[in-house]
Amino acid sequence: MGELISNNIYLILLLPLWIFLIIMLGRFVSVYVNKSVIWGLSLFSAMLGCIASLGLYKIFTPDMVFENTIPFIKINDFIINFGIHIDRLSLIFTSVLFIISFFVLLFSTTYMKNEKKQYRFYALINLFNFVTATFFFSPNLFQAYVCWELVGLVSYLLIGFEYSKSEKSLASKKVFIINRIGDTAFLAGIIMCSYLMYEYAPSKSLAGLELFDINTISTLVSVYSPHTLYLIICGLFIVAAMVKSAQFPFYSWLQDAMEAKLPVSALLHSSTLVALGVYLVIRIMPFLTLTPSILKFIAIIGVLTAFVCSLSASVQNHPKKALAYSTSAQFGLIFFALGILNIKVALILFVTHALIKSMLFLTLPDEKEKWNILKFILFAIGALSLAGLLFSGLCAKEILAFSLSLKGIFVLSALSFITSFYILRILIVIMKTNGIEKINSKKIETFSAFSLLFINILLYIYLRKTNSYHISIPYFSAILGMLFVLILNIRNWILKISCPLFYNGFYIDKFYMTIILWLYNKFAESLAKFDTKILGNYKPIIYVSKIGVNLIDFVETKIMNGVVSEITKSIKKLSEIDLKAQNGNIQRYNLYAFLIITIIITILSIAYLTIIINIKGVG
Amino acid sequence: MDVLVSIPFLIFLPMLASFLVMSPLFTNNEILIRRFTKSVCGFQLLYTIFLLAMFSPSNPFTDKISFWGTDWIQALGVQFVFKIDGVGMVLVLLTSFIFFIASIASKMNIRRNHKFYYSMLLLLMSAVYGIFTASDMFVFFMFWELELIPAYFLIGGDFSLEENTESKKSAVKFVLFTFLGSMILLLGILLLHYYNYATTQTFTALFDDILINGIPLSIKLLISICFLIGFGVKLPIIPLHTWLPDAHTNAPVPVSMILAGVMLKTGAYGILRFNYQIMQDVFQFIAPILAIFALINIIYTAFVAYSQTDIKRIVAYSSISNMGLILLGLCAYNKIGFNASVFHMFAHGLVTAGLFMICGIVYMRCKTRDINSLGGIAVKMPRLLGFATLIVLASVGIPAFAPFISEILTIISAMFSDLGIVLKIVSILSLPLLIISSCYMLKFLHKGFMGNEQEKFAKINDITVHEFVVLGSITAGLLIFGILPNVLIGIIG
Repeated sequence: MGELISNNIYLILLLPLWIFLIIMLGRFVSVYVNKSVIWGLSLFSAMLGCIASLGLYKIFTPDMVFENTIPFIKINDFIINFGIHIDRLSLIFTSVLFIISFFVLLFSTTYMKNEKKQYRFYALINLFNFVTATFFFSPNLFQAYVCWELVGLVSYLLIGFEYSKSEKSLASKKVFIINRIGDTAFLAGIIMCSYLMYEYAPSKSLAGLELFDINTISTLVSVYSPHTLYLIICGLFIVAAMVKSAQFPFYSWLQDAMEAKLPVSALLHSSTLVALGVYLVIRIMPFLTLTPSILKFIAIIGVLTAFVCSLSASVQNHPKKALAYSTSAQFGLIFFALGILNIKVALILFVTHALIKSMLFLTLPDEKEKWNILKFILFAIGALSLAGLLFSGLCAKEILAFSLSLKGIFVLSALSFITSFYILRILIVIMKTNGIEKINSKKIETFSAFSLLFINILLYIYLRKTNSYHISIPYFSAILGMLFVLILNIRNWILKISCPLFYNGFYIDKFYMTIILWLYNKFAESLAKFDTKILGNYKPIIYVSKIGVNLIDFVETKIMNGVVSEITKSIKKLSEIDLKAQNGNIQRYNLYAFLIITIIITILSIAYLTIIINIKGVG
Repeated sequence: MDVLVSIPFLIFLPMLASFLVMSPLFTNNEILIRRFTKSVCGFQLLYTIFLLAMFSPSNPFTDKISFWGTDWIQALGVQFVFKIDGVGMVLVLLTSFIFFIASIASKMNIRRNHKFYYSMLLLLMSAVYGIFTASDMFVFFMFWELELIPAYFLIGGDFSLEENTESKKSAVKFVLFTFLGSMILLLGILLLHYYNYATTQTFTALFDDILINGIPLSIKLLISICFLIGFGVKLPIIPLHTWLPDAHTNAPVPVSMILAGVMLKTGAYGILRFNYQIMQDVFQFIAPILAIFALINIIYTAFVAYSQTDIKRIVAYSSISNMGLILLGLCAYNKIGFNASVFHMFAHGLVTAGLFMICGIVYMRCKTRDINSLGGIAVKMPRLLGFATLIVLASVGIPAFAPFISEILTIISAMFSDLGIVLKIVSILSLPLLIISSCYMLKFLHKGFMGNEQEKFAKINDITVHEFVVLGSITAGLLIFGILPNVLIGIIG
């Protein structure tokens, strides 16, 4: 069985990509692809990925690695490889991905029933599966970067699915650009890291960017001890992870991502896309353990995000926005667990959160729809689980508390209180705004949500068996939060709670939209004005060339032509004199003749005399 | 089979076809002229693919035309020699492809003076082939000057139904600017030719035979700067770029595709041949300063493009930005940078041709190029939106498309360069390109296409078969070379 999977893992991985191509290109060549065929293929590929991941997880021991690469770019001795690298960590993430993907696809077969152009939706979900699985199986940072960007791309295409509505397309544009900031940080980190390896690698050859190889890291670290550049590289990777996992101060994009449809929010923005940051941090953990300040930074950012986003979630009135803030907050907790080097706890938190949050999203009602009672019950159970009172949410919180010091437990209790408060408050808000109905109409939707709950319970049983913990203070503070909500509900103050600071997410989004965008616009406009008015201003050149042309004109007309015209003028004057002389007066002619003959004879005689004197003189 | 490989055939066939089309004996029927031109361009494309099949990077094609046993200008050592090596092959392939696509795209965009237009198109094609394959300085210069004439007429001619005085002004600006640059280029060529004679006592103008060892440093610096100014007008190096936005905006769409897709690359190719390969040591000396100019190209034009309202102008500025990346790849002066630069020449040629095609399609249907009045046309033209999204994402640098690879390799090469710290700083400073290029490109896509449907665009049609073929082949090319970059890198060698 293991052999079968290992040999065919490429096919399992490429199957979603193949389905994407079938769906997209099949329309272009007018091959009619039946909707049920699309559904069947997508569900089959998700199920196959699920079975493969879980099966391999059972087979793989904690230190087993399967790696296989082919060269993607090869320029002399600079090689960048693509391939897969499977170990237990990546299998955990891909199992989560495929399980949630399967149930979200099942959900969307009925949810998206009335949507035109459904085929594009399923194609994009398949592409998302492929790209995310490739990210989790990437053997080096370059492929991780490629898949990171592609995941951002798929998220952009899915959020802007209904591109004919301006607010949705603008939201997708904003999400994409903010994600690009993380991509830039990631790329900067990769480039500096590869430069570092190039400078200090033993053979100084431009090998690929193999950063997950323990040998490479240890040789690098032994040669080059932690330093400012090192800190900068780790910082850049952490910033990239923060942007992708919606940590402070980059959590505002998750609010805009909620413009997407419900299945997209359940799959992407609650469980899988935001998990990419966590995966990256875990992968570069050998680097990070060498700089304790960075780990402290991660932990502080995690706790800060958890508090800020929990507080923001507690005054939201729109369920999706509250759940988005909740996602950021829970991932803040995961980052905190990573910061204190408790990777196992972080993974448990991640898996439980993914299952709970996607179920919460799947059981949300639409805008004007009445809330189905089964969905209400499932949401309530999920809410209690998220608060840390039931099933695997309880387990995860308590396992985390088990490994913390007293100060940590205090912080965690405060957080549990706020978590329990906001999730139960939003439950009551939805109850009040939508109202509950008893008619059971959408079986498949409730079934997929229920299956996620079932897996949640299975996970709870598994965690109880394998970990030891005990119920402590966070559990009681969560109960306090629940009681607080119930008291507020009795007094009908639930909907009256408001705080502008929390409601606007500590004004991060407003800051971005007003100040940064305004600055960018002004800068771009001033540069454009500079370009057209100053660089493109030909007036000086025209002015200088006009001076030159005038000079040449002057030379041409006045001087060259002028000389010629002077000569012609003098010749004209001479001819006028000559004309005056021709007046027909014979006496005048006689006078001129006599004068001229006299002058000629005088000159000739003088000449003759001088010659005679000279000859006489010589002789 | 080797007998059929002949570079002069490649170059002079379009020239002959151009004269044929222009002659009074040729028919004045628009359809026949168009089909003739398309078949000539298609044949050139097939011939280029044939050359590609016969090509190997270690064995470049060479060809020489001798005039009754003697060289062209024997007393000066000028020979009529052609050579296609790796770089030349990639660029010849790009030229054939872009011209073929432009001739298909000419169907909808050219309404008058067809004979003149298509003959000038073929003449331009021939001139560009000559630039990319010339192996002698004066032959190169001859073709460099030759491309000015058809380019002037193509930009400034009366080819659309409306009166267009702006295009005439832009054409004059283009010609005067480029001509000034090529005069300075000629000065550089003559200086190099003379000093080569002064130091080696032989007259030669071949690229392979010029030795610059003995020439004094100040003269070499002067020659390099002359070359840089001459080519810097074409590959627009800020501040010599001011002709470009007007020329690209006011020219007809196929001409813009050719201008941005191919002719800007002739400038980069010139820098590659003259500065990078001939004046090597001076280039290593100037490269950091040139890298700063490349950085200004990249970042400055990306900001300027954001505030433009004319969609063609946005694309024109994006071309300048990408040419900055190509220049940066050359400045890094290593193998990765060289390959990245040539790869980006190819990839960007395709992307920019696609973007101009999209602008042209939008303009033909909506009669406006103002981004504030467009919007909501994607509802009527979903196929165009699909292609526009793919090509815009390719231009931004999304993986699985070709420009991503060249952008990444350029930045890596600048980081790995041996030429000093300036290049490493430039490499890091050019990373915000990812963010700001996506800013203006997505603004172009979203404001121009998406959004609520508008009344005035209720009657526009989706793309036709011709446009589909053009856009589809461009997208396919971008995807193929994005997923299998080794194919192109193998050709470059």
